[in-house]
Amino acid sequence: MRKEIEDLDKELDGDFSNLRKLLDMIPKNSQDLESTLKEMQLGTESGEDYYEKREEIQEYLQELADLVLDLNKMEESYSQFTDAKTKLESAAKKAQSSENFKKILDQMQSTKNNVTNITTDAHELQDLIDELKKDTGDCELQTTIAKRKKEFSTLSNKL
Amino acid sequence: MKVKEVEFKLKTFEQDKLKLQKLVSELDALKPQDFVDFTKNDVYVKKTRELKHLINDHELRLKEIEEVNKEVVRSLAEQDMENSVDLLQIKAQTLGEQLAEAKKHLTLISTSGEEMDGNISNPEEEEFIEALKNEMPDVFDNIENTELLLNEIEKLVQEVKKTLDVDIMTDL
Repeated sequence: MRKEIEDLDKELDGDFSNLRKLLDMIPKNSQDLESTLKEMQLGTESGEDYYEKREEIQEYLQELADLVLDLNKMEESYSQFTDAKTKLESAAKKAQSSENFKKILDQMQSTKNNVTNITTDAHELQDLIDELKKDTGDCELQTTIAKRKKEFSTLSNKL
Repeated sequence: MKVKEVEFKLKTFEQDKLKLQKLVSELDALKPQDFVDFTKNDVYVKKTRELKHLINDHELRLKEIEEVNKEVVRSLAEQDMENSVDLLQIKAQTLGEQLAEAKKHLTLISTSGEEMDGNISNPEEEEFIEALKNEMPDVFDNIENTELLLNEIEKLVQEVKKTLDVDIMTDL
């Protein structure tokens, strides 16, 4: 049973590592998107480039804010589960009876399931960011730049 | 002073135009994939927005220059008008003096003609007196009309000087 615990512990190490990578990557992606949306939001006054998109931009920013809350909860859970894993590893070293080993194995399996669930949730957050990026598209930059060129040309002709 | 102001503003404008051109070219050189790169497209959104504000600012400045330029053109036109009116006034006064002199001489001739009437000694004198009798009334009428016109010109000159009205100047 000790061997089973060691194998499961190794699997958990892998699961934690994958989750850590996701939890590190999501905030960066989220912040990049947020910076873009906030810049777009600065141009949502009447007559400005993103006036028509103002509601969508606000909606996307709200979704990102909710996403950050979810992410914080995941970080809390991640800390709790890594603590639990450390305690279980320590308990496994001290355990003698098969009853204790069984209890540790069950708890470790439960932790693994929880980590898997959080990893799934984290993937969903990343998917949501990708979807928001897709919806944001090219920030209408091609259209806006073409408009600027025309405005500049009109201004130059007046000189 | 105002002309220098316009010249200075236009010079500054030309320098700014180059900066704007540079910014436009910089944005124009971007590829479609840059617009969906969320690690840097916030910078392009910002630059595009700033460019709009700069163009709007230049539009306003250009309007200001146009206003100053209008003012300059108006001042120059007024100055031209004043100079023209002065010249016209001098010309009208000179004409008035010449007309008064001519009237004085013609009155003398006419009076002499009247005195000679009935005392003529040859057909040429008779022909001369007849011609004077026939033509002098028209000549004096013309002189009188011209005097009225010169008086009218003097009034208009004073009015133009006072109002700098283009329509009155055109009448003049």
